[in-house]
Amino acid sequence: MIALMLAVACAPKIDPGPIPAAVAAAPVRVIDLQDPDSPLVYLQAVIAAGSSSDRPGQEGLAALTANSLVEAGAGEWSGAELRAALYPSGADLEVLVDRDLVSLRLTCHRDHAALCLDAFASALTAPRFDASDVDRLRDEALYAVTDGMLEDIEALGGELLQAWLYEGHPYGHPPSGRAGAIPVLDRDAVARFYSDRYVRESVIVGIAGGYDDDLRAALDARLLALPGAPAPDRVMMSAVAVDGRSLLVAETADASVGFHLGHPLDLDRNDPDHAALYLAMNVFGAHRESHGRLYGSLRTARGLTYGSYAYAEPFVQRGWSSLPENGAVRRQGYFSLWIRPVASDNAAFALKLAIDELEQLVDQGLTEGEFDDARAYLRGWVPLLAQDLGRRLAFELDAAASGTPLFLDDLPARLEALTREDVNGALRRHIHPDTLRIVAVGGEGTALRQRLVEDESTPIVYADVSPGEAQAARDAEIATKDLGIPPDHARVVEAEGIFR
Amino acid sequence: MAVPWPGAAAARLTLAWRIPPHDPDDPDVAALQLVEELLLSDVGPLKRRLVDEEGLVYEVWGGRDSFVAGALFTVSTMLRDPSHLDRVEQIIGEEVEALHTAVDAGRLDRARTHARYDALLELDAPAPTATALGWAARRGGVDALDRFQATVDAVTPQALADAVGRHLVDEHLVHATLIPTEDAP
Repeated sequence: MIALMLAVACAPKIDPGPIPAAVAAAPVRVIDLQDPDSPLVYLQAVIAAGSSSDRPGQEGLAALTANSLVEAGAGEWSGAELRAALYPSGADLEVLVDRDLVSLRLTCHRDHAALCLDAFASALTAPRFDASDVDRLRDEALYAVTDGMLEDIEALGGELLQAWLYEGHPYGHPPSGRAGAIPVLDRDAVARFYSDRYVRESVIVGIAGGYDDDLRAALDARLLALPGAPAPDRVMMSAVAVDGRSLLVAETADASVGFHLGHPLDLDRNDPDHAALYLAMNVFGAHRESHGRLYGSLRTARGLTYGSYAYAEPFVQRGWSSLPENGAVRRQGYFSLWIRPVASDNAAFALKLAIDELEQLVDQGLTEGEFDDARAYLRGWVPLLAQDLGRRLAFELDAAASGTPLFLDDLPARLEALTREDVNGALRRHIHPDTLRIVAVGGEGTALRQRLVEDESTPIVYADVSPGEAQAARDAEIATKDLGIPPDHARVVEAEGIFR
Repeated sequence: MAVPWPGAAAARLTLAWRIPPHDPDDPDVAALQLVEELLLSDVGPLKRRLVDEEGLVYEVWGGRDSFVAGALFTVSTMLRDPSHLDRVEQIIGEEVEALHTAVDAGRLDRARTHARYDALLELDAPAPTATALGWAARRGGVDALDRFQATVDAVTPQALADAVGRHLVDEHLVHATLIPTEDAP
């Protein structure tokens, strides 16, 4: 494997020949959402240079490059000078790195539009990559995938599930990188990555708000500084097929256990079944909402955990809100179910209950009432996703970068044409409870593995309350439920150093 | 206060001073809002010295609470190495001490401008605008936003130094550390 990685990393470049004239002359694609009444100007770019662009042995380079755009100097400014220049405007350059895309954003008041355009364009087209800043950012990335990851067992679980679902695949490492690869990254590697990946064909820029024609023309002129070269090929392969159920326990010093489970899902926003599954997951486990079946069963009825949610596509939360972040659309997706930390004594029961709920969802589908309620809910919820022009622009960029319809308009339209049968059929076609990779992160890993794989009964322990008769009967069934994880498909590993 | 912490984690140091509760018309509250800008912004001396120059911490953050029933002014750091605790505390102390002397008027104006535009940029959608109005309503009425801005605009370099001398002093200081250790409970 190491030899293969070295061969790929060190392979000589094949001269691609001269750049076609049409490519060399083509400008960067720019999306406009002008609103003369807006006091703000939003500048955004998405670049097809996310962490799936990292070559083996250089995992973390895409993120280090992206973070260096805004922290390691640009144009005439050092990193500190750029921050000082923007400071009076209240504006901050923001970077988000996901598997496929890097997002660069700057929002400012139109009083400072020219300054912000200069800062944004300099970061995108003329980064300096000052070595001391790159070294500092590299150290921060190393912390993020080592002790930083161990401080947040929920983030660790989410990354572990993706690493396992995409083992040996360009999506198979956290965007921050691998601890074994990050130390070898340096300023020169960053500069080479930028030179190869940040070309006009790989970049889509958006501008929204109260800008004038002069600013718009200036943006076009600045973007010509990017090389007119073809976008590099982005390697993609199928996710590893998941067969049956398997378990990975990552042991930490924590007293609780969190779960992430799922399987690859060969479906994106172009697929006719996407809207059906989106609605189904709203019924089953709407993110950070209390109306999902999982939430009702695990938290409301039994107090097992703070929450439990499910997703039909990769999901990144936007800051502290419950809404989805933009810039996280991907070429390949996966289904996932998240159980927030559970006390160790009840961890096995909670996992059994969540999987039982999933099996019921697929076997029996949604009721007519659930279907109607979810459709009404989503009709009202989708407009809340983009309450300002900047967020609408981010959805426009997502659509353009991924070759999918504009989610804000497309989902409501598709919902109107859906039937309950469509949703239940999509669940049966795409969600497979019998083929799950299950990641547990928490303390007492070996004992947890035994409870999940070998113990015949793992009853729930209630704290000072007694369930009603019907719930007690179901609890008894769940306690003896066989998760069907073969012993040789269940392993325990130390969480420390797991992303080496 | 020292908290031993089990497992892997970066050590934390937080210094917290008791300060007056939020009042849109209180000049000291407005001055402390500007102290937050001067000390803890991306261009402030703590980020420059602790993160950029000496590489002692991953992050430094904090500022003034705007609670109405008692408040804190905090400076928190996430250390790269617990052995640097004393040096980090020394630098924070030096930068707070420096604010006991009147700052350059131009620097104060930049901080004021940043605070104003930072607040304006938050008001680009109904939800954050409603939050801001709700915040103001609990703090003296909807016009509390404008009144507080006027109080901030009136802060002079000497008034800021005087407010620091009254509030960011040892008698009001609480010191907390979180240190990862194998022996933690």
